[in-house]
Amino acid sequence: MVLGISLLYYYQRKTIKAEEIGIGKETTIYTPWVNDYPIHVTFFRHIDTLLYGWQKSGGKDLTLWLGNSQLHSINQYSPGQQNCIRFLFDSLENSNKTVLGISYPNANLQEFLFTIIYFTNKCNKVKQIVLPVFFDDMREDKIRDDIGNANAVNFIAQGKDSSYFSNILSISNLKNKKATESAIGNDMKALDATAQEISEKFLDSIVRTYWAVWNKRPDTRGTLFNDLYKFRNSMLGIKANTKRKMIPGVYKENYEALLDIFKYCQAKNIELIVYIPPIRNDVEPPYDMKAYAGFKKEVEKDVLASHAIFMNLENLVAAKYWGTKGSTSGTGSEIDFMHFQEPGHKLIADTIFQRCKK
Amino acid sequence: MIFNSLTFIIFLAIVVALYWNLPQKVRLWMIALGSLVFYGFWKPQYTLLLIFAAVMDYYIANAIHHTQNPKKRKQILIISLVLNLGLLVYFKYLIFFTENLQDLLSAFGSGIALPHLNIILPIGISFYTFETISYTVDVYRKHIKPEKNFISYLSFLVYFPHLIAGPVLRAADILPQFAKRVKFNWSYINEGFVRIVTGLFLKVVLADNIAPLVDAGFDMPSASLSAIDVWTLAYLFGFQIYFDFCAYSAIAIGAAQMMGIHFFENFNYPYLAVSPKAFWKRWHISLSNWIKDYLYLPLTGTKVVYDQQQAISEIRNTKNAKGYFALFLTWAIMGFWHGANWTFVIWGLYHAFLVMMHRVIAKFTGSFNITFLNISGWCISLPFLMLGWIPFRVTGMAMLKDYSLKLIQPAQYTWLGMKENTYLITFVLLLFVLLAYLWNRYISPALANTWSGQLVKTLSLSVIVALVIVFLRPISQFIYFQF
Repeated sequence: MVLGISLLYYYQRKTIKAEEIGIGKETTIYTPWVNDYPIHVTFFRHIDTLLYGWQKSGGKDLTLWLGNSQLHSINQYSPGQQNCIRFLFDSLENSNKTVLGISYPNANLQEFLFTIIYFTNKCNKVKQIVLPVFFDDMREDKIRDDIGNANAVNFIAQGKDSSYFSNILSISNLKNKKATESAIGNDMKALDATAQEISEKFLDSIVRTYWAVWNKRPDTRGTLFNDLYKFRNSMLGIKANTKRKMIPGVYKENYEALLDIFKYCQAKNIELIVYIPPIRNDVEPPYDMKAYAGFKKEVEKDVLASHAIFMNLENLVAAKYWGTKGSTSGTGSEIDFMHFQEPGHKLIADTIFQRCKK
Repeated sequence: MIFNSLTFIIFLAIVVALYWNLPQKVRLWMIALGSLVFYGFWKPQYTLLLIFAAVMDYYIANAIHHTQNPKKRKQILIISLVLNLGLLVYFKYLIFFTENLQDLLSAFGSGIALPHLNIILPIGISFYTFETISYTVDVYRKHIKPEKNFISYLSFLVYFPHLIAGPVLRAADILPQFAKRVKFNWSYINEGFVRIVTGLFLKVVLADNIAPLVDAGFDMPSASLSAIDVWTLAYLFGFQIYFDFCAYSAIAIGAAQMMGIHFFENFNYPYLAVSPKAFWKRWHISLSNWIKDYLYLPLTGTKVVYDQQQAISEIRNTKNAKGYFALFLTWAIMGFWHGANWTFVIWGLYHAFLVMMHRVIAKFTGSFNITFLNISGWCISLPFLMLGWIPFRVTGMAMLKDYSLKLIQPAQYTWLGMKENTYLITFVLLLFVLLAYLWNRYISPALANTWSGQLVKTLSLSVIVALVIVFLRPISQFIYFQF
């Protein structure tokens, strides 16, 4: 027992922050605030705060820019630098429009669909939606707990827009799934609505107060999984540029969600700007290039068919504006295919601005 | 109360401390009251149901014992069975029966709308109902005498380590242990601690971390899954439920051991079984034995007698057809015991079929080399046993049909529908189970009295303790709570 706890103390000395696990030390998460309110959030649960700030600052017509960690991460960040949302916000400052950003790490299109319907039901001044379609994220199928929490699911389920969900991700499925989840936090969801909930919360708060090891457990779990991930990568020789295959079922689910987004925006008369996001162009990306080409073609065809705007920005950010990240299999660094430096953010913001002001 | 929680750890420490320091009579009161508190941490009002079940069978067993007339004895036994099973049917199956009846009425065009029932299933009811039944039946069969002291009987029935998800205990095994005062020995605490920590490791480190992968797989639309995915999910859920349930049993055994009470083992590397029959001698052993003694043997018409060591011995007097009928009926009931859904019945019948096939094949393999038989038996049995988890885990008959159809279509074996990690983790888990078996069966005994053996044991336990501390959280219930 004593040896076990000592091991834990030793291991926790190398614990890294949860946000660093996903993006690496060379990249920094940046979400801009204006007048004490965020204009860009990375959690679904912060949307209400985002909207509150927007109302406080005048409630202008909105461009909603969605994305994954590419939006909220700046590679080789130094203080004072800004991201694309802030650049676009500044560019639009003297117009009758403004921009708000929502991005989630590894966000998939099903999560975007849910976010769009939720957001536009809460705010009827959304005139444009900017939506990057990441080929990587077509592999992601999990609806994170933060999105689709019980209140949000009920909010959408009770409204008529729930009909925009395809059969694959129907609101009732999501509702059933979420119904089994707890309202008291993930760590104690087995205790929901039992008498034990009170004692467990009490004991947990005491142990957390007096024992730092207990308090650091979430980060320790993250570090442990990260170490396992690196171990797997080193054992199997997986690197940042190792090609990842598409998963047919997950791809289909996400693509159906994209089509649902098209339908929804058309019906609500919201201009949709869809872009293929920038990727490093000096090395071959970690994609099956044939599948990637097919994907781009398919997206372009369907975007145009739905009278939305299509932009291919994959070569927009020059190689010099990209950086490296911690190795996926141990020490050292590797090419970062997803996150670029501040000039990349400026370039993409300017490109979107040209489209927004039309 | 959930084992994988701080509340339980504090509760156990208090109960164990009191147990060793209280006089014998007070000790039993403490066990009974402590166990009711343990149960009440879920929903306090349901402790009344538990007490009712205990009072009922305490008096009924005494009544059977004091009745000489065999016909009357049988009548009292039937009353007990009806009452016990009646409670089980009401709480566990009434919604299922009503829904099925409603479907049937609708199918025949009837406009009758049956009431929508909202009944909460009391956790552990399937387990304690079986224990009360076995107690009354044992008294009826004159295998045991009824317990005179109600508190002793109540303590046996509600004894917290086994109350919610087994092992399914017999009064004959536990009541004598409650009756005598064992002298305190630190080895009880040490051994119990190791069992509990091992159980928590299986639950919070393995089962709870496999669960999201399993849930994600089974939540995917059937069309997105290939046949290989169905097999993978079968294995993955097989590991999840094994670690989860084995964990519960290990913690139960360890908690009882801390009080000097011995429970029989409930698992013995079931996935190393060389036949379906052997599997059920290694998986949920206490339930398998219960089913055999109180359901299967009576159904085959076998006269159940007891030898001097109080073990049940069997005199088979059945022909094959009757035996197979009993086999299938037993398994259908066994499946239905697990849950009020047709998928569980299918699961039971599937296992009956596997056992039957094994019996048939075994007739022709008697002369084969035993090593060859064991290896080939394991290689053939494991996939089929794992596949059996599909009907157990799916949420309905439509899903089961989709999955089953995939398995028989060659085209469904040409692609993969899940993330690479899912296959990798499944393979690693299979390897883990095999290595754990080899370690415990061969390497650990060989190193038992060496310093290197002690070092490895100490280091492994330290790592397990550290991991349990990091992952201990009541994030999910034990799977068998729902049964």
